[in-house]
Amino acid sequence: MRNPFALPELPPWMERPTVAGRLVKGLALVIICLLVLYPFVLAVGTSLAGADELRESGGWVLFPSEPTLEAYQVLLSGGVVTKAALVTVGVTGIGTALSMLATIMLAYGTSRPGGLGSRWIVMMMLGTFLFAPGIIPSFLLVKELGMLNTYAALVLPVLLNAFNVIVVRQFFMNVPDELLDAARMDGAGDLTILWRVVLPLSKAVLAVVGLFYAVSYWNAFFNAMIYVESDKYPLQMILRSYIIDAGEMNAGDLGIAALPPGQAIKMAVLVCAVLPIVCVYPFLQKYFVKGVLTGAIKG
Amino acid sequence: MTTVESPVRPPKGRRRAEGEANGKRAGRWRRDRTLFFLALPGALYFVLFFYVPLLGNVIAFQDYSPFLGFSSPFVGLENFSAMLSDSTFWRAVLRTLEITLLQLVLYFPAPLALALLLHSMLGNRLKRFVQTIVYLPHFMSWVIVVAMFQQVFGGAGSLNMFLRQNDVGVLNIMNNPDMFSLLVTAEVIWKDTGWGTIMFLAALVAVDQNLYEAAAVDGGGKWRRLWHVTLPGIRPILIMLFILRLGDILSVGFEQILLQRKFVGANASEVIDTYVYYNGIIDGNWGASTAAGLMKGIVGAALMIAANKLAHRLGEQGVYRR
Amino acid sequence: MKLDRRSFLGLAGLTAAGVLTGCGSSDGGGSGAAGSKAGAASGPLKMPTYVPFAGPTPDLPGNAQGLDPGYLKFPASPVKTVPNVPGDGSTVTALTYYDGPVVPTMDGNSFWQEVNKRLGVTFQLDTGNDEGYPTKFNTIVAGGDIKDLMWVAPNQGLTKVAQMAEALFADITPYVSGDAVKEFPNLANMPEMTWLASVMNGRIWGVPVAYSYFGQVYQGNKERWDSVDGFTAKSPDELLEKFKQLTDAKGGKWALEPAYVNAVAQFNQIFRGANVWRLEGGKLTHMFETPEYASALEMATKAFKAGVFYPDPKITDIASKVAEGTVAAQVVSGAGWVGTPNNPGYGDVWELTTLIPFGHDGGKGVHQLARGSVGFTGIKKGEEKRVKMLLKVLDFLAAPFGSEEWFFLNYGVAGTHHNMEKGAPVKTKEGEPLLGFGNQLKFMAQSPEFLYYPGKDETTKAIHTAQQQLLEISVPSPILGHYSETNVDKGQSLTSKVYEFVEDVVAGRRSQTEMSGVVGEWKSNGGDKIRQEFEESIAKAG
Repeated sequence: MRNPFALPELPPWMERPTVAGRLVKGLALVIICLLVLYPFVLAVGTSLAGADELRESGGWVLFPSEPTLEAYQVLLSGGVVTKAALVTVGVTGIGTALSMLATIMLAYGTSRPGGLGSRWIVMMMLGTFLFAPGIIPSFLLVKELGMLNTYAALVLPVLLNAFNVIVVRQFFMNVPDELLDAARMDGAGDLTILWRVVLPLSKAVLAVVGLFYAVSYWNAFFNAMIYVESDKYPLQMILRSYIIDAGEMNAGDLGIAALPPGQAIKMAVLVCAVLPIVCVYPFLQKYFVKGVLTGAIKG
Repeated sequence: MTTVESPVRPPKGRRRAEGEANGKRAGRWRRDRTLFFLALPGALYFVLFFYVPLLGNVIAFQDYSPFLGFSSPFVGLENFSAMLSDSTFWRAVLRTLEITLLQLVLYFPAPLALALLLHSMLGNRLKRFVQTIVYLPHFMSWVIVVAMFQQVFGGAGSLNMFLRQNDVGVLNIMNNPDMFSLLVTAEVIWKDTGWGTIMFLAALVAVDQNLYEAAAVDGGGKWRRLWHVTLPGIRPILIMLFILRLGDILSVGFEQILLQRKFVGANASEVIDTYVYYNGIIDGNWGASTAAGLMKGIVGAALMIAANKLAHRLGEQGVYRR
Repeated sequence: MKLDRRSFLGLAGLTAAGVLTGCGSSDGGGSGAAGSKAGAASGPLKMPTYVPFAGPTPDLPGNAQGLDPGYLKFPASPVKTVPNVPGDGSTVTALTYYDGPVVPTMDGNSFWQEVNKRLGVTFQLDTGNDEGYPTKFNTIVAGGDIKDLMWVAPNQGLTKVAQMAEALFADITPYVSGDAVKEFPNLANMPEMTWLASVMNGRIWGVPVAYSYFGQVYQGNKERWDSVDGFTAKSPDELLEKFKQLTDAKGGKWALEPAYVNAVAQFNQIFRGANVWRLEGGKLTHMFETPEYASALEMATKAFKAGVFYPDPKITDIASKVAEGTVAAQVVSGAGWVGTPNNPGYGDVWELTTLIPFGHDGGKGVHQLARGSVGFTGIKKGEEKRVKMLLKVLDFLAAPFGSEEWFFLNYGVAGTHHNMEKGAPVKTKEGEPLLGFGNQLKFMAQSPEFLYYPGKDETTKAIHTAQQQLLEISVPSPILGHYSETNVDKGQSLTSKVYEFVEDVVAGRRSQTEMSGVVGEWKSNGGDKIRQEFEESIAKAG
């Protein structure tokens, strides 16, 4: 292993950090990490704990003495979770792709100051922050469009998020004019500029907004509850049924002879819900880590 | 749609000047039509999926029943006046503002500070590791976050059990009406600071690295670089996020607060959203809850417009152009 | 096998105690009335004739007043109650309440397919739970595609229920009134007070979902209460003293769960308070207006000051806390209190005891009954033939414990979904998740309550005995079978405001002297109107 504390090569103009400075920074980060990590270790530990141990310890177990996967087995039994996970992966994948396409189009289309109609469109988007259509009118719309009980109802009503569009637009607007002008001098049109200049310079924000969309698709349950029937339920609908009720369910209700205690299932649900995001994040992370502009301008 | 070549070469210079100089209709159309067609589907999307159902908010003026639909009887402003004349509602407004302001002061800068700290880290592996961890709490549902806070700070939580066993008096944190706003803010900070850094990190990497070099060459130390390069570089994003938050100022974590209502009582924890829940939604009174939503929107709109104006005064872009 | 109302009424644990308590005893449908006088409640309406199920003899007999029959063994030869296939081969759509884990869909669910076959219909179910149920119900109603069968929740977010029923649902009075109900033997097996759930404005608008007659009770950990000579006392002060003895904060032990409103309701029974409403000479008094309720509130406030309530006002795993003895007693409602011994992981480690309310003055206390139902299932307006077919389907679903139909609906097919072991059915591992579909059918119509805890004879007997003792001092609600639109539309929020005040008083955040002002507000904001509407309805019924 390379020493993780070793300093990378610094740009020649940057001063070497002081030891004290590094210590203070390091301490702050360690504290922050502990504050954040501890509950998660607790959650994982609890999800692996057995019934007796949980009861004795008052509901939370950091390191179970006899770890068991029982809670996960209950979650996965019956094939319902597996199917719902497929639905969620599909909706998240397709939804995020479509959302990104639509967001980039709309953000770029309104990014030129004084551009035709852009002011009105931006105002219109801001309106979506302030007011909310009711559940019933939205339901009627989805019904009129013939989307009730279709997967489309899980994507189209949430395809565009005004906040995300405005954020992307803001980043697009921050692309230095020199770059755009240079491209125009070379005879590039608006679409070429988008593809060759603007998008490559906006990888970081695209990664962020892509993550926002993916997470919102991943976590969505409300529209599923209202628009589709149980054969098209996404994962969160299934997981929610455990989070809400696990504490109250009794064996008879479930038709399951010996259920692990609700707390273990709740934590297993939490782990299942977070795990995929933990796995995806490192792939996006590289876009946040180092600057993009230097290379672009020089290259 | 396939026009790759834009026939009009905009003149060089600041883009703002460029837009204003080019006021003529036909020229603008030719210059902007590619962008216009790119934006059009999205605009139509918002009309269809947002503004069309928004018309349904007419039920704010009705005694609405789902089985009667939009032909429910009109009651004028009754849904509004019932709320505005209720002292509980005004107490909820005050409490909401208190919590929002606390969050603007304490929570809003937290992700920025953490992002700057992360950004200043030099070891890439450590940086990635820390980044991967700090955003985790965002994915915990409020039910679990509140349960964990209770486990530590509650009346029978580990802290108080420890104090009891050592015959020191208990610390009333979770069940103390006076602490409620602070507690709620602390929970938000714990849950969402890490997640909030992502946006700032994206903004930070978009700052032109050449500017740092130039500043360093001019003899600027790291604090000066922070002040003169980093912050100005992300200022438009900061201002935008701040203005957007203002539009939402009358909403504070509904689920979070509802979950802790019993800890401190309704008196101390009533915010606008819970008020609407207990005075409309719980009874199936759709008209009243819609009316409350409309009022929140109007206040948010006023604040957003004012903030945007102020930003223009100070020479910033704001969210939209003046 | 019991519907767990607690989780539904608790709205995912999000709402105030007022909601939970409200459902237990204070909602529009009112609470139980054991007598037959309620039959007259709706004037000329002839209530369905009660023809009890003549099935296997229970080991512990039940009665028409609401005592549940108890079975120590699974009935050896279940009785067939529905001779013909009820359905006509068509698809039956339904919206129903379900809060268990999602059930495998029809294609992959052999039990669901078998249910379809035996009932002669294809079930297409839409379900909702907790706070989502009223939302789902309302969107479907607003969308205009009414399902064939729709469960009407007793008091959750639905407005103008009587008007809505009239507009959407079939008036089934002609098919079930008087002896007509005999065509549907399992529906005839529901006593009159259960039927009152679906009576509005003198007509019957659907089939009630049978449920416990019993209101909330204090259920305690027997071992802990035995250490203070049992869960009873002769005076409020003695009970308070026992609470204190059971509390040892340093050792992490407390006497009572922190549900203050429910505690006040329990103490209210010791002071012989009103079952939400009290009827005297045609005039109604709400419990909030009575001195008994004030005494109960005072008692709870004393208990709080003495520190006998668990120190956090909310516990998510109260059942386990009572089981392990951290908390000595909790309030449970309806079938919940008989269901709890089955709680997974806790079932065998503790025994329960029940507080039978004693009188504060040495006399008797009271037990405030619930209403023997949890909402009703409305049938979509349509031709007589269709409505009758749907009634037959519901008749099948309402088959009681001890019938072949009940056995099938709960345990499926032998060899596939269950196996017989020592004369009792045991679900197979593969069958368990599939049989969850049976739970989805229960909020359309289900068997009346019964006690059957295989292998736990003592528990069964103890509950049966406690039920008898509670029935002896039971008080029905005077508003059962009466309809007040204001109560349906606003009752929930009005009540919750007073309950929140009650919580503040108990917790020492406000003073009880403000009570009259709060109740005055309750009256002027709708309480008086509710009273007037109920009084008129009662007067009309004579």
